[in-house]
Amino acid sequence: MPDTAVPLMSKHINAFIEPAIAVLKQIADLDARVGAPRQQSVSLNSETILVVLGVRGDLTGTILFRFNLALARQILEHITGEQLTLDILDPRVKDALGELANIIVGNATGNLNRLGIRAAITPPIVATGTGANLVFPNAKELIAIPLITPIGEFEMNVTFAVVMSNNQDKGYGR
Amino acid sequence: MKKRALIVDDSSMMRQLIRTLLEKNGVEVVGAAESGKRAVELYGTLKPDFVTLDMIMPEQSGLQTLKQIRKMNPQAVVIMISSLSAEDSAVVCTEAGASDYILKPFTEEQVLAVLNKTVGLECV
Repeated sequence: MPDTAVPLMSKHINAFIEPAIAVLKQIADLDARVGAPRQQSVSLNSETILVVLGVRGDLTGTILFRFNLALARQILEHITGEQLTLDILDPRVKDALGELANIIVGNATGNLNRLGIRAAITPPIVATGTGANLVFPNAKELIAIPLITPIGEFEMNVTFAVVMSNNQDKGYGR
Repeated sequence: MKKRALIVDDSSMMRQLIRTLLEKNGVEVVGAAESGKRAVELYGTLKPDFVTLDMIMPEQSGLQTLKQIRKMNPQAVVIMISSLSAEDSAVVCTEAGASDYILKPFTEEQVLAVLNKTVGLECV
């Protein structure tokens, strides 16, 4: 029997929002709140630091975090407790933001599991630079979720479809 | 005698964080690896008392690395430290021989409790 795609719902989005807030608090001691999610066009221009993670399984798609350097630097300062002078190519920026995103999305797999959705994630890819144009050819919608912290705002973008497989024992999320 | 640890994580920030935590509590960190392949090499030469092993890494996953280390030494003490919170992730690792599973982000107390249980580490 073929797999069946079901519409993206707020409970699926919330599976990612809750760990984003919790992880920012625990790792960087930042109190974050969520702005109103909004739909974006599928393409977006990148001017800053992008962290991209793939999700596959019953839920398939991409999670993309978008930071500007000033905020990224401040998040790192909150994590390390040190004043830092970093440029956008500093490997510490990529490393820390990649790990932060990895923890948020990894923690979300537990929430998805509780919704009956089994999903695995791919290691983060971090990209920097201006003028990049990201295209998600198979995505029907890209939802931007602003995460607002006392030191600035960044975006978590999600574009995925929930595919409830008729074969429930694929071992995803392992 | 100090317990000897090998840290495996593709994030340098996480390796440093775990190193600081372990050394502060009297553990000798004998090696650190950024990949599963390197971890297996270092395990063979350093023969640490225990390994902290990340789950999601490029090229070779933590689970594959765990299986290789346990093949080298069926008694190896490997503690998974992962962001994956789905329960079956922990179950699969335990079935593959992991001694315990710590969820990121972790607290110092959580790590010490696991080390106390798995390698008998007493807090300094």
